[in-house]
Amino acid sequence: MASPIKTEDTFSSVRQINCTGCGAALEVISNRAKYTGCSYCGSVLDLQSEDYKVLKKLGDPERHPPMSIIKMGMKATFNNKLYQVIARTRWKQTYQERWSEDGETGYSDEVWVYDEWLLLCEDRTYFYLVEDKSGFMRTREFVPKQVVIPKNAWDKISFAEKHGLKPVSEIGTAEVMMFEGESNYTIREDDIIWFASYKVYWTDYITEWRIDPETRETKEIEFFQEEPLKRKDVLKAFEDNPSIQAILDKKRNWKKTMNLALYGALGFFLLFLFSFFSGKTLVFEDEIELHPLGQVDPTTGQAPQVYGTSFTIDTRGTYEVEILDNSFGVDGFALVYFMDEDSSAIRYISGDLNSMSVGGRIGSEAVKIDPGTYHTQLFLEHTPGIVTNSSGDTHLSGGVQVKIYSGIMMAWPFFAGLLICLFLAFIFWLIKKRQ
Amino acid sequence: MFTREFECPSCGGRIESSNPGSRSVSCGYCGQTSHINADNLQAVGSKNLLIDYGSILSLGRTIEIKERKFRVMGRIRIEYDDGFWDEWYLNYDGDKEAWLQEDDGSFVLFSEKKGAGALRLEQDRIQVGSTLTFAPEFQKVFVTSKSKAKVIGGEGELPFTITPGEPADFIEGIQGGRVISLEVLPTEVRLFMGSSLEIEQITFNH
Repeated sequence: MASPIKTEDTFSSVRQINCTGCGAALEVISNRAKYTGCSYCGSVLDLQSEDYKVLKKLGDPERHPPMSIIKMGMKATFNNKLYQVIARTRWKQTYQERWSEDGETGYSDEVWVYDEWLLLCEDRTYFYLVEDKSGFMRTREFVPKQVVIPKNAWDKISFAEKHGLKPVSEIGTAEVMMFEGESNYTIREDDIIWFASYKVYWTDYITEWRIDPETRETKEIEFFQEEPLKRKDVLKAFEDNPSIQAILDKKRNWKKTMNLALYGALGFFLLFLFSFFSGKTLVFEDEIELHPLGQVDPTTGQAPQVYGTSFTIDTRGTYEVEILDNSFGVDGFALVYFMDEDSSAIRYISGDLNSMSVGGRIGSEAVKIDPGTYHTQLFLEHTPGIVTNSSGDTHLSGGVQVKIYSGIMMAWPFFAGLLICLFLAFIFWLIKKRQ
Repeated sequence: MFTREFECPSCGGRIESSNPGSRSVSCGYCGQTSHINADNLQAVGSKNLLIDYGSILSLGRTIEIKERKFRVMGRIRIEYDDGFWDEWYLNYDGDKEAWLQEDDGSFVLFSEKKGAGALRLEQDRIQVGSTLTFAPEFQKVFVTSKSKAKVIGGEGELPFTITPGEPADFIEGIQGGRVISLEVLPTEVRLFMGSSLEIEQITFNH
């Protein structure tokens, strides 16, 4: 099936003129255009007059720049059709907006400023894209199934029986502040434009009526539906433009970095979890015992102490050193030094002996150990005043069991890594949201 | 297929008519509109070759809408205060007629409701925003616009007589999701009912 559409014809500039208001070079793309608004001085020119006479001067475009990414002349693809941006109208609406709170409803006075972008399609249809500070919407004209138009904010409104009679969401007037690009229709800035709308889910149903300022008669009534467009879909539609490509590249880089941080956090989290549940191998076990259990020596002030059996570590790594209570029902305090062959303490682990939990864990540490020979030294002290156990035995033995395990140990760096990566991901997400 | 050949009374160019019901033809060479009077052409109004603004439609093209095939026979261009629009004259199922309104990329497919000539509307008193009865089957039509327009010119062949420059007032309304259009020409009043189309609903056979 042959297509009657000639894209190149549609988008080639049909006229190059100089603004009669300021002399700037302007291009007109649509051969139907009757008027053009100068992007430099805001003059609206009559393209049908021989000398392109200035019909009126609207707002200075420099004072009303585009709100975000879209610029005049950009190309876009929506629903596999190619479009070109050919006009922008800056509107200001002064209206009453319905509010509802704690069972009460009312209308507040509001002002809304937005841009209406006009995109010409390769098949010579048009796409109206509305943009405000919060995002994008697509506006389409439609023929309502029924018409109930409000006279004021408290009237009901409806354009389809299935919608039922709705309260008015917004009602007010609209005025053109600035126009740039081209138009097939007369821009009648003097017309009084009223609008009223209601909402069904995410779609706004709008009626707009124009009133002749002299006769006060309604000249025309139109109906539109407005649906929100996601920013990412708009970016995708405009992706072939270099400036949008740069934004998308930056966005992709942010996404990559954020993903990296998230995957990092996930990795650390898995390591952390794995350290809980992974198997570990006992590489050394020793029992260090003091007999009899003594108190602090009143002459030296030292607690009784004894050395454990020395042992050799062949492989560098992180080991779990675990100290267990082996004191047969005594309350007290144990301190175990972990020492190298020069008797320099590498780490100590201390904890309470508890008569109620014999064999319980006094403490454990993940210790990074280089290959070498090591030994332990135990300081033990029972609670002052307690010299017998529950069996009445006064010759108590006190001691600990030392166990060293190899394997991946639950270590604080994993947890710290998890927190850092989560924090980074959160920061990237915040920055991205603000963009 | 029925065809008649005429010679343009203005430039002598060959004009073909393939619809026995056609009452006006426009010369494709000089833009002269002529009324068909028996087997002769009578030139009316000024010459006006319509400017091609790149419509997807053109004379002789066959299009398909809702599984029905239409042949493009002619068009009228109508101008009003705010711009202009084209009314494409279509034939389908032999001699049946339809109109496709093309206005800046929006389309409405109309069919004429015969007998509207008897309508006696005081059009000056009709107000936009009011609800009217246009005909027994067109009650409670909500009036959306009223425009004073004029026929700029035509192309191809048309089932009624037009004269470039003649006034043509339009009253448009809506009823139950349909578009109602009342065309008030100096000689007659014509009533049309239509439904709006997306361009995707129109397919082109060649």
